Amino acid sequence: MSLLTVDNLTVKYGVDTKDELLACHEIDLTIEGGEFVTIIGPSGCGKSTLLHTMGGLISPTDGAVRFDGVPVTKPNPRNAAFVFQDYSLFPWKSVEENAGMGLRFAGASKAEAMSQAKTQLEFVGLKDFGERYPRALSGGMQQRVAIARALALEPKLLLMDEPFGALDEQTRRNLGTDLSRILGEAGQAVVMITHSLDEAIFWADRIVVMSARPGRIAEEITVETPRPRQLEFMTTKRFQDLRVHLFEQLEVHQRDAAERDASSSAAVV
Amino acid sequence: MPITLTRPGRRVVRRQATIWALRLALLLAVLGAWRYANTAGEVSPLILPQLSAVTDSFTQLVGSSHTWQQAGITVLEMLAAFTIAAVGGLLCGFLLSRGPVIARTAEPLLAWGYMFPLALLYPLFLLWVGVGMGSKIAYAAVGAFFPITYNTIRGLRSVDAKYLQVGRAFGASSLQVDFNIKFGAARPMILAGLRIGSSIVTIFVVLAELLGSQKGLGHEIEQASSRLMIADSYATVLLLILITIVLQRVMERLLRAKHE
Amino acid sequence: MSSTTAARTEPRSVARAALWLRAAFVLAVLVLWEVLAEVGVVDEEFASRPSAVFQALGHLAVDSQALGAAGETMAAFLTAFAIGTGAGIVTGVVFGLNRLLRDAYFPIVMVLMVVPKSVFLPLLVLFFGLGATAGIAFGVLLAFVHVTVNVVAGLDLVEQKFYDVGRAYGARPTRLFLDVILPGAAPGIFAGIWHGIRNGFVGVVIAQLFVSTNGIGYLVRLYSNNFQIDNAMALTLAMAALVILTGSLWSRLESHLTRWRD
Repeated sequence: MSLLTVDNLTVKYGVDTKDELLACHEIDLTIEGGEFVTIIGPSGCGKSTLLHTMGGLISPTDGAVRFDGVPVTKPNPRNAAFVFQDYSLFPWKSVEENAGMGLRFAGASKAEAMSQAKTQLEFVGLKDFGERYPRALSGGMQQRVAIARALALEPKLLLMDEPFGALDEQTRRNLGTDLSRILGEAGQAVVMITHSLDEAIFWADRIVVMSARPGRIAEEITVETPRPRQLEFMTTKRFQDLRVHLFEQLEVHQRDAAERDASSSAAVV
Repeated sequence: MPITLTRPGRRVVRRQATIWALRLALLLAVLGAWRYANTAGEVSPLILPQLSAVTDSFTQLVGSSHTWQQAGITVLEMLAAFTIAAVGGLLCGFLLSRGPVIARTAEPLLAWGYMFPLALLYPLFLLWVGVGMGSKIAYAAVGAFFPITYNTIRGLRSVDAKYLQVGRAFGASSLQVDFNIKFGAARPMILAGLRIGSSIVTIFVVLAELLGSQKGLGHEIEQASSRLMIADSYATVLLLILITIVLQRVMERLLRAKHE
Repeated sequence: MSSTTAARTEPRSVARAALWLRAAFVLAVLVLWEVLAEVGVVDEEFASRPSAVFQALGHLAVDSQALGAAGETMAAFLTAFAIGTGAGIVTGVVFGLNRLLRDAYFPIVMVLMVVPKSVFLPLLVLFFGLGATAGIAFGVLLAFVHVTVNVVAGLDLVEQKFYDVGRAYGARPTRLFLDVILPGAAPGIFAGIWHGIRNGFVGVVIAQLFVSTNGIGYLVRLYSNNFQIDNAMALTLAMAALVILTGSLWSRLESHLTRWRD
């Protein structure tokens, strides 16, 4: 059985108001155990909505999300744990407390949370920073703490919402290489949203391309090359072909959206 | 990305209705308690007059030119005190913010001035300035001066250096930097200071009128209380509250008008 | 980086120079006052002089009436502070957590914030008489309003993303409250308590000055009316020093407890 299935999912915001917004439209998607799936698509296409619905933060308007066959109605971090784009570390907690906070929230004892936090911090390479406060850490380090916080729950699935979005190129690459090792060892399935074509391809077993609003799945591409991959993968023909293809796809969807917006605003006038 | 689902329109309307229902409930509870206290005779009418007596007295007050004369005096004292404190505070704040040492010297002194229980000095203000309008204005202006100056310095000192760099990069003169960049960036902090100042002015003017004066609405309240015309005293309190709310609204409009 | 932070973090030498300058300024004011009183520009009968005030301070320190009054004021202040601040924190937290109650009733607190609260003084005297209770009630009113407003502002500082993390990790309300809401709102709550100290004290003293027959406020009025300006000033200064010291100690504690901020 698949780890997670998204079945005919539709999500609307502001139902019955004049601001009603169709964010996701009739989406079908499955995630297998241990699989790495990246989601890419134009801005505002409902990627985040999809991810948040998969984790139970948003309820479906129609359709369903199932984890191990059980419908997801609220977040269960031991199944699927979130890593947010802006790290969302608590500035008033030390790095170690932050790393253990996910477990604490999920109901673990303080002792258990702290010992797991130590283990995971070491795992992400921040063993010596446990006593610091988040403000003393760089963006890349903060995101490592957020990843440690998620890994501490030993979830079967990680939901990552543009985890590298706020980082500079160099840090992205370093963190990326480290993360591929970490995630390879931890063996979690991952769903990751990204804006970067390179990331979308480099990481993925499977790439999900979404169309502009209302968000639909336009295409699913399997990347056969086994993981973890070396940086040289980026120089291969397969990678370059995929990159060109994705670029064109995104251009098309972006243009569609722009044209639709223009015609709908013309209609209003 | 919005995490919580936006609520449908019907619910928004129902929510507004609930809010007003809650407010109405509070109002009714207060009025009900008031009526109960009157009828049950638990509370002497010398403490809590009949509700109707207060409304009668209020209509009478609003219709009397004497009231509006007194109100005019109170408002005039408030405006004068606020103007003096604002002009003085902004000017001093600006001058004191110009050097790091002088600013660091002044900040704690001004904070102490704000903490100082100035009320204790009011009897002395009466001795120094006399019982007329001058003592009210002077007293309220001194009280408001400290937070206005303090916030002006803090605001001007904490302007992010990157804005100043922009100014320098485009060759702005020192005065241009002051007026176009510093005051703009420090505006929220300065406005907060002016708000605190205005609230201190109203508190101090009324207090000063209560403590020792021959004019103004505060004096009227004091007179009514000491002559045991309790309904009048409640009605005047109400009127004074309404007037200060109007003043506050006008000030907010003036402060906001320039930018928003 | 260094140029952007330069405006806030000044070198130690600036702080030291400022300290000296401040001391010099205070000293200069005192000397000027003394000299002007000596040559008669300042009328000593109305404004006293520093040497006399300091002498009075010495007398008052062993004067049983003054010490009794100080005790009464402190007791009234502590009561008003405890009630006003406690009620303010509870109300602020309730408003911060319950959108409906906040939308319904917070505007009323905001109106109380801008209204000159001194108008309630005569009414409080009607209710509670001329004793200490009216002073406490006024202190409670002042502290309550300011504390509530600050606590609500503090809770507003807790960003939505932190609640989202809590929700995503299945936090129960108590955990969320203890680990996210309370520490996140700590700056506002601490500021609220500072305002509680200041306003609780000012409220009590104002009420005592206005109507009461006890406490420091009453005594200062008595001294002023009897032209014992030195005593009045000495007492005022002593009280001011006490409040400022308490407030500063609180600020110290605050910046220690919220050191994660900078």
